[in-house]
Parts: sequence; C-alpha cells; structure tokens
Amino acid sequence: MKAWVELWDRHEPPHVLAVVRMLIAAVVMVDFAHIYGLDLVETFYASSADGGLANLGSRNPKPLLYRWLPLESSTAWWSLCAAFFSALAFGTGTLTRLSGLVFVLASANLAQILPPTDRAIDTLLRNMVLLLSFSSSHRVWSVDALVRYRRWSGDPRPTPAWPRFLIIIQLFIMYFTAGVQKVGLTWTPVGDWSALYIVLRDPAFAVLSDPTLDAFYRVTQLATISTWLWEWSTPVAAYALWCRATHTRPGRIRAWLNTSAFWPKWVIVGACFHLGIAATMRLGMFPYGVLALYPAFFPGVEWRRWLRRNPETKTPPLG
Amino acid sequence: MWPSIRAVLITLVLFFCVVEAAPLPTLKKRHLNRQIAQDETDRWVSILGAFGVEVPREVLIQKVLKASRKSGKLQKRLIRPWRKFERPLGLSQRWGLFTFTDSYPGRLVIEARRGDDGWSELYRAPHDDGSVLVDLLHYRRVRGIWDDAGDRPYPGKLYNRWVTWLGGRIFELYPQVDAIRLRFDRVDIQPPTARNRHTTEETKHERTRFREDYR
Repeated sequence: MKAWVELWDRHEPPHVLAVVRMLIAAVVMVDFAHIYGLDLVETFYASSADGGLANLGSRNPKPLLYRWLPLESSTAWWSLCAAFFSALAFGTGTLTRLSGLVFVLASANLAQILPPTDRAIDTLLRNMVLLLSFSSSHRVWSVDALVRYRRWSGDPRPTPAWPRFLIIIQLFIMYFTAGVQKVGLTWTPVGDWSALYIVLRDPAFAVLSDPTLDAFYRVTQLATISTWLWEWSTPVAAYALWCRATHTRPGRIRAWLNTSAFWPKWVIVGACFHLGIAATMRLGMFPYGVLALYPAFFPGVEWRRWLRRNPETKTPPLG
Repeated sequence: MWPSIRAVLITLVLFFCVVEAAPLPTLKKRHLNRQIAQDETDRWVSILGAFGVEVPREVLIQKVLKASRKSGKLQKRLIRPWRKFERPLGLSQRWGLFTFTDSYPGRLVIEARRGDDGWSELYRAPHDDGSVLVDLLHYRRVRGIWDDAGDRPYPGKLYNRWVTWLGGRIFELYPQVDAIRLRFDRVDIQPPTARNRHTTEETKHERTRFREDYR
C-alpha cells in the first residue's frame, strides 16, 4: 500500500506533459481545419432543417450547445469554433486547465451532434486532454508560464508525475484490450494470418493496390503476427517498465529485460506500427493522434539525454 | 494525507477503466446478419469438432449470445456510476480495433449521368485522383458515415440523408451531371493462397438522386 501511494506521489519536470499537450492540440486543430476546408461544418453540426445530416429537432436530450443556443446553422459554427479555439488555447497553454476542460466538453458536443463522425481516436484524445487538464503541463512552454514566470520556459521544478503514468496505462489498456479482442480467425494460423492483408484491401481504407498486396502477402502475414504478438505482449512491456524503474533490485528476468532493452524496443516497434498504418491505410489522424502520446513513454530526463547524446546522465526511468 | 487520497482516487478510476475496457463477449443477434459472422461461426464449429467437442451451429450461437448478455449486464452494472460521469464528456474505454476483419466489405461506387451520355463512373473506392470529391469521401469523418451507415447488411438511418447530401455536393461540383447513382459492391477478399477465390461482386443499397429534385 505504501509503495502504491509512493508511486503516484513521484515527481518529475513537466516538459513531457507539455509536449504531449502541444502535439494533441496540433493534431486535433489540423483535423478541425479539414472540416472547415472541406466545407463540412453545417453538414456535420447543423440540424437537418439547416442542411445538416443530424436530426436534432426531435432529439432529446439535445447535444450540449443546442441546449443553450438556438437550433440554427450559427450554432454549428459556434460548436466547431468552441472546439477549435479551446484546442488552440490548450496547445499554447493559455488558461490551460480551463481550456482543456472546455475542449473536452466542446469535442463531446461535436460527438453528440453526429455520433458516426466521432471515432475512437477522438475519444482517446478527449480522455487524454481531460487527464492533462489535471496535470501541471502548463508550468512550462505555455502562455500561462509566460504570464506567471515571465518566461516561456516557465518553472521546470518537478511536478506530480502521475498524469504521465496514466497516459502510459491508457495506452496499455488500449493496446492490450485491442489485442485480446482480435479473436477473428484471420488473426490466427487457422485464417492463414491474413487479417492485415484483408484490412489493407478494404476499399474504405486501402492505399496500396491489390497486385502490390498480393506480391507482398508474406509481409502482410508477418505484420499480422507481429501486430498480434506486440499487442498481446503489453503486460510484459508493463512489467519491463517496472523492471527499469527498479533496476537496482535482483532477479534474472529483471536483469534480462533491462539488458535487452525490452521496453524501448517495444515502444519503437509500436511507433513503427503507427507509421506503417499512416503509410498504408487511410485512417485520418488516428496514427498521428496516438503517436502524439508516445513522448509520455519516457521521462523528460531520458529525452534530454538522447537529444543531447549524453549517455552519462543516469536516472530512474519512471522519474 | 493528500498522496493517500490521490492514490485511492486513481485506483478507483483505474478500476472503472479496466472493467469498462475488459474484452468480454459482446455478440448481438444483429451481428449475425453479416457474412463474416456466419463464416466465423462455421469455422469455430469445425475447430471445436476437431478437438472432439461436437456443438451444433445454433447451440454455439445461443451459448455465445447468452454469455454476451450476462457479461454485458454485469459490466454495465459495475460501471454505471462511472458512465454517468463519462457520457457527457464523451469519454470511453472501448477499444475494439479491427477485431474482426471483414472479408466481404462494401466498395462504394458512384456513377454520374451527363445528359444523353448515359452512366459513367465518377468514383470507385479506393480510387484517388486528388479531386475535391475524393478528398471529401476519404476524409475520416465522412468515411465514418458511409462506412458505418452504408457498408452493412441493412443501411443505417443516416444512409439516405447522406446520399441526398452527397448528391447536392456532386451537382455543385459537376454542373454537367444531372443524376447520380450510388451503391455498394460487396467485395470478396480472399488471400492469394485461398483455394476458392471468388471474384463476383454483389450490389447493395443502390440509390439514385436527380438534379431536378434539388431545385
């Protein structure tokens, strides 16, 4: 019990959280810009009476903003503006906690208006923005820091590290449950490990041509096995992370996981999967949205060590 | 004192998140309308048979449906207070990403009629010619609508509205087009190693819209 309380009471500089905050904001703002650029604001967020796809007139309860504002196309614009500008404020760290909470509500409002336009990545990023709203990500690299400390770099003193740990746990939950739910037989030898071949040929997502995929069928099989194994190995990765944090303790498995660098390798393979998805499937912001969370896999001191190529500094990996 | 309270709160949140994310069976009767579900059931019957467990198809379906109902009820009951907090904020912990790969997906095909020239193909998924129409159809939120509402055994509520809206957009983008015809062609995706490779495509959910109806 004491160790559990101590785990959640660890402190570290908030730079990683600030980077995740900015990356999430950048990804969602680009996505919102697409909605505007493709002239989809009223299509998605106005009522059917105003040319929208959503039948809001008869809906009860109404989406959040439509409870307060009239059933007009202007409310569609207010809905998107609220989401876009709260994301902008959150990313720049302007009234960070408040803008984060407003973003979550504004994004949920968009989801309520037309649910099919809201995908898993939107949910994941809402989860993360809400979490970051309770963090100290605004202490550095933010307008809040500029106002309070008179410098953009803010106050780099250690702050609670639990939001970063929860981001990691969120990704663990997502990857592991996604892996366990892959019970379709095409993910197994019974279905000839053909799952990714089939997904990559789905006309809704396909980028590569059918002959190309046929020619690289063995590669897709290998990718299917790798994806499945990688997702199922999430508990091992969680254990490897724990072993890194307790590297001074004895144990053969701990020593092997640490000397073989299992944890960074697992993270790199995950990043490669998402880059692969971005290159071979049309899934919009999904891979970029998830990759925006990847900096959280390592504490700031490790990032600094890598970026400065200074292997001298040794610190406990969890912070 | 505060670190202990925080640890308790985080533990509580983690408990609800893990219970909600728990990969329990969630099969519903409507899922069985899909060809892929039929195929998977047949394969499971033969796999179980190979292990000496003889289960008739219908019995297996009933057992899984019953287990799904029970586990779903339990899960709902456990996370009820958490869902009250999650719902208005649009939060969730359901991550079924490509759990079942659909070997029979629908291919969106849009045809256009220009005067007396007859019907010609305007779009055939996943073709990408960089046009505004393709950008529109490939945008993830738009794809979410046609893939969810159109590519299924019975079209969803949104499908007709979406077709009507798309018709309006196409008539704006292509002034010479006076009618569009939209449909989903069922594709049979079989690995190159499959013995019986089908190439036939069935058509479903065909809809037609005329420019004159938009005036």
